[in-house]
Amino acid sequence: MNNIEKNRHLCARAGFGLNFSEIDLYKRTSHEKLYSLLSQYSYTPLPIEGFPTSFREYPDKDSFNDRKAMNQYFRNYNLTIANTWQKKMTESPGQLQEKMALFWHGHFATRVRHPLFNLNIVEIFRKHGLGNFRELLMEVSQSPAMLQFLNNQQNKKQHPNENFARELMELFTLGRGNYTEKDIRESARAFTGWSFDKSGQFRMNYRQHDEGEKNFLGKTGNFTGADIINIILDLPQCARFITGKIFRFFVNEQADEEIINQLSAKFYASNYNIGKLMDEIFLSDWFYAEKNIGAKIKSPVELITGICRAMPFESRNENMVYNFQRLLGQALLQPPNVAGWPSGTSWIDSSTLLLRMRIPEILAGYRSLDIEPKPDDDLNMGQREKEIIINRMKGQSTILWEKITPALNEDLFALLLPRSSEELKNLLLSFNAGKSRQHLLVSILCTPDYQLC
Amino acid sequence: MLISRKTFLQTGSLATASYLVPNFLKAMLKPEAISSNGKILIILQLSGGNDGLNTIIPVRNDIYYKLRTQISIKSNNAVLLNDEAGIHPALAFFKELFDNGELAILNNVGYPEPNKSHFRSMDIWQTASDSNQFLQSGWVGRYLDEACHSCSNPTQAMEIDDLLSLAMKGNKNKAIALKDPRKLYRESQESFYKELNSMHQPHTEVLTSYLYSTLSNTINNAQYIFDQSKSRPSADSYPSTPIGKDLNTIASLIKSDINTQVYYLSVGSFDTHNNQNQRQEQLFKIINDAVGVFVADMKRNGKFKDVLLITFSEFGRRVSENASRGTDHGTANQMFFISGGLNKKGLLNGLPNLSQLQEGDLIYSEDFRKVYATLLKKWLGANDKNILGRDNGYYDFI
Repeated sequence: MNNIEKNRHLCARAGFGLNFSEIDLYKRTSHEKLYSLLSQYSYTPLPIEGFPTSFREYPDKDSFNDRKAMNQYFRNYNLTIANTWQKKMTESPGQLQEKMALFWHGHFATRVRHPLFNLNIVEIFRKHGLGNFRELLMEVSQSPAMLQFLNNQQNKKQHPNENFARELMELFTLGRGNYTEKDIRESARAFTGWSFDKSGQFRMNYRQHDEGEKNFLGKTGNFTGADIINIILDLPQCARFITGKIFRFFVNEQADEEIINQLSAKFYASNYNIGKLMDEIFLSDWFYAEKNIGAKIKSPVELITGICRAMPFESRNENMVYNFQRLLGQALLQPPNVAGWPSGTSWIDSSTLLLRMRIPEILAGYRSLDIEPKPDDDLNMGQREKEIIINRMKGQSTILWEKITPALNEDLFALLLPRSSEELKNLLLSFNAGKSRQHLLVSILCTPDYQLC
Repeated sequence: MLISRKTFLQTGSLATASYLVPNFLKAMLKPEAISSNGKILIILQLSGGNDGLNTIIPVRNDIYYKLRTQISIKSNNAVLLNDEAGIHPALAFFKELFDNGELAILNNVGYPEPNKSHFRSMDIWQTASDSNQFLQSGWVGRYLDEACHSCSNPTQAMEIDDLLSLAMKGNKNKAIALKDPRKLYRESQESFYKELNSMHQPHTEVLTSYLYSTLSNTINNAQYIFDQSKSRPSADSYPSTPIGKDLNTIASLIKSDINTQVYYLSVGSFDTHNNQNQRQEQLFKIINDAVGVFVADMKRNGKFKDVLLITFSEFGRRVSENASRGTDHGTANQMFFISGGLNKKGLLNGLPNLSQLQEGDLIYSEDFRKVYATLLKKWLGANDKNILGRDNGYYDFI
């Protein structure tokens, strides 16, 4: 495998694909050096424009004329968050930080209406995503988005609500089969009183907290919620569960048990240092093994962000990228349920495959799109939504070809596809015979093969 | 035994390894037909949460009128089905079906620990999961897995929409979605796709072959469906509403030789938080008109006894009205079953008990998965226990 192939694979997994305006960098940089660039990060908040980012400035419920006006405000604000984060994914040189945040967004999946709750949890993912899992887990567990989504506001001494305790173990830390129903009941009692105040701040409501003795995973004590989280983190199974999920997301959906065991032992020994775990993965030799190349189907966010990096464009429709992702089944801030998005072949059916293969041409202005999204009554409250129409009036988007001129003269197949047969190359070359390199680029982006990374 | 080349190509054993079959060979395969019993199921999803209490109205219930002073439907406005129950006046054709013994109504259908988010509750209905269980496949999709081992993009189930619902995605097979056979045909038959599809080299990586076989099936099925849809165009004049057009498409396919057994379509939104009566009446009117033409069409073509049209919604609505002449999200709801081949007709059970509510909501008495089990077993002849993962019992209306 040559350098550019290694760098393509690395960028596809530790980020959202090669940035075509920086093709020179990939040519002259080793994958080790490139990784050190991709994994650099410093936390800066998303630059949200046009909306207040603190509760102090946030409009009061009564300042809206009616429910409809408030919904519209929520909707526009949430779209702004999604679009701002999306832009960060496309442009940030610290690609791994945003990719990791996307992973945690699917792992600690919440779906709430309040924009500040959404912004808060996304910032937790961006801030702690490459830091320490213990801190990440604690922050998420005390975030208003999670407390609200899993009903912990209703978890009270007299009426424990087990929703959070159940998902904490089943989905967030241990996986099924590593705890009992009794452990769920007991730990739910420990989380009673965990709530948030009017400004979204975590608040321990002592009056609703059950201070009694609990038996949890073989231990006995007057445990608090924090105690429960620490007891879980003491179990090597927690490190194993997280490592397995990271491996399937970043490396290969087919788990390699031996490698996962080795990684998770180190992860546990490092006291849950996520950044170190990722270094271990992306600097290993096995990450570049043939069986891990092209072994994943891109999620809609990965696919479209990758297109944005290969073929940068300006759009008059600020929601265009978001709309594509939504039509393909993965809108930011809207995971389907607490288990997060599905993966692999479940992204692909007749409709989504044809749409995926048309998006590059729609962006390039070669064709238009006219499609009706599935209604979302949680957002629209029964208001009918218009069809999503793009490019009926040409010129909704402009490709910034001048930004990628040097890249166009490179081997576009090697830059874009995990592997490509001579037959595919010949087919695409003859299909674009007499046309520009731009056309060839668009054609490659439209292949089934480009769906893989 | 000698097997002819054609038979060989059509047998399932080869098609199970279809990932390894070059696409030019696969193009010669017809969409595999399962041993169909000729029964057709149409699932009409009422999106947004239809208010069941204003659909089948408890005209003699004081609690209903007390809790809904603004939006209740008075007994002299409802179309009476019996002493206690009336149907919404905009569903006049449903009363005709009721009188003919071609409509069955199951009241108070739901599930334990109901969820009031549209999205989540719809997922529960579409995947047939428990309230705290997260499945990535839908119940019709798993029916395809069960009934159709050898076809990777079968036309046995079809959704009339631009995008495919979770209900239609199985673990192995996924149904096909199309708003209009002509539109899908046009979009799938471009020379670029056909050229990609005609590559000779077999795709050895599992994911690459999955992608290429999906493409190949889309091209082949789009052609097949389009051809079938043209063979028997409808003579009836369907309303030009979305559901009118969708039912017209379905009717033309039912009258053709296509192997489709399950059709899925949706209408909405029934999310009537304010000014409910106006919105619900509009929606019922377009449903009523379209279903009327569709049933007449099916009858004239001798198909009505083999067609079963059912309705469901992700939840019903709260018993009390809200301050905006609407209703908020609730729980249990009724399902309709329309067919010329029902065993039992009319109201299959009693109306919901309004004097015993849980925090203002109906307490379900019928589990929707028992309905699914009945449809799978008794209508489609499938193994419902494999598809739903457990024994749910059966109803006897079909």
